[in-house]
Amino acid sequence: MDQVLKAFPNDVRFVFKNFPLPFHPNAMPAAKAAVAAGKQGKFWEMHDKIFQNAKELGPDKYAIWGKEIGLDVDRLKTDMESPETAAFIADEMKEAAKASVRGTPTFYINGKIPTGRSFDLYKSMIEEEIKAKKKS
Amino acid sequence: MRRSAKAATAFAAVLSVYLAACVDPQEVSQMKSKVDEIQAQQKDVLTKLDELAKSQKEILAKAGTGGAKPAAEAPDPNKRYDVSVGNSFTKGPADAVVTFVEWSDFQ
Repeated sequence: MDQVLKAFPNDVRFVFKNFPLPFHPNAMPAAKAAVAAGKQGKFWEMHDKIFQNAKELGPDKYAIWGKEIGLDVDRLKTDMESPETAAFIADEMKEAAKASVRGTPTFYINGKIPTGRSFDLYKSMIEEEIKAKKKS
Repeated sequence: MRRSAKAATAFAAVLSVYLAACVDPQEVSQMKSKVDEIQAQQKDVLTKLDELAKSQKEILAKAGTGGAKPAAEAPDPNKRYDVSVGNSFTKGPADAVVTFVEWSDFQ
């Protein structure tokens, strides 16, 4: 994703939406940690921490990472358990059902689902979108 | 003619005695109990299969009514899905021509 943003710094906006799968026990707490970190303006910092350490997720990790990225850890813990955070994630999951998300990750480039997962494919789809926009 | 018929009857009688001797009655009862056992096991297997079919049905029914779940139909690569940014977290310029949305799971 960073590769895409680097290649198109002015033309691409990246949006992350949560879809914690029910059979992944760490997925929902991780999603809550990222959203709660977002309340302190550090969603992406927590997002990166979680992805970099995806194999060792656990309830005690979010406070450690929160401290590392400069969060108010007590607030992080409170926000992780708040109904507002749960509702935020539930909304994104509802949207996913409407958008035909069948698994994770699922990508959309201006609403179109790429048929594969390669930077070259994303790049050509993005270039097509930019070209179409410039014509209109 | 009569003599040969008599001979055949005698032969049959001898043969049946011989065959009866071959089949040990104890063996027969053992085989019978074995068959009974197999029948009982088969019944068990059929009952278990019924139970499995029932629980599978229940699981499928539950999956069908479970909360948020991915859509059943396959995504269409030619379709443009209505995906809005909403309140989700973003990176990159807000006025970008292309919106790249990812739905993901942190595990």
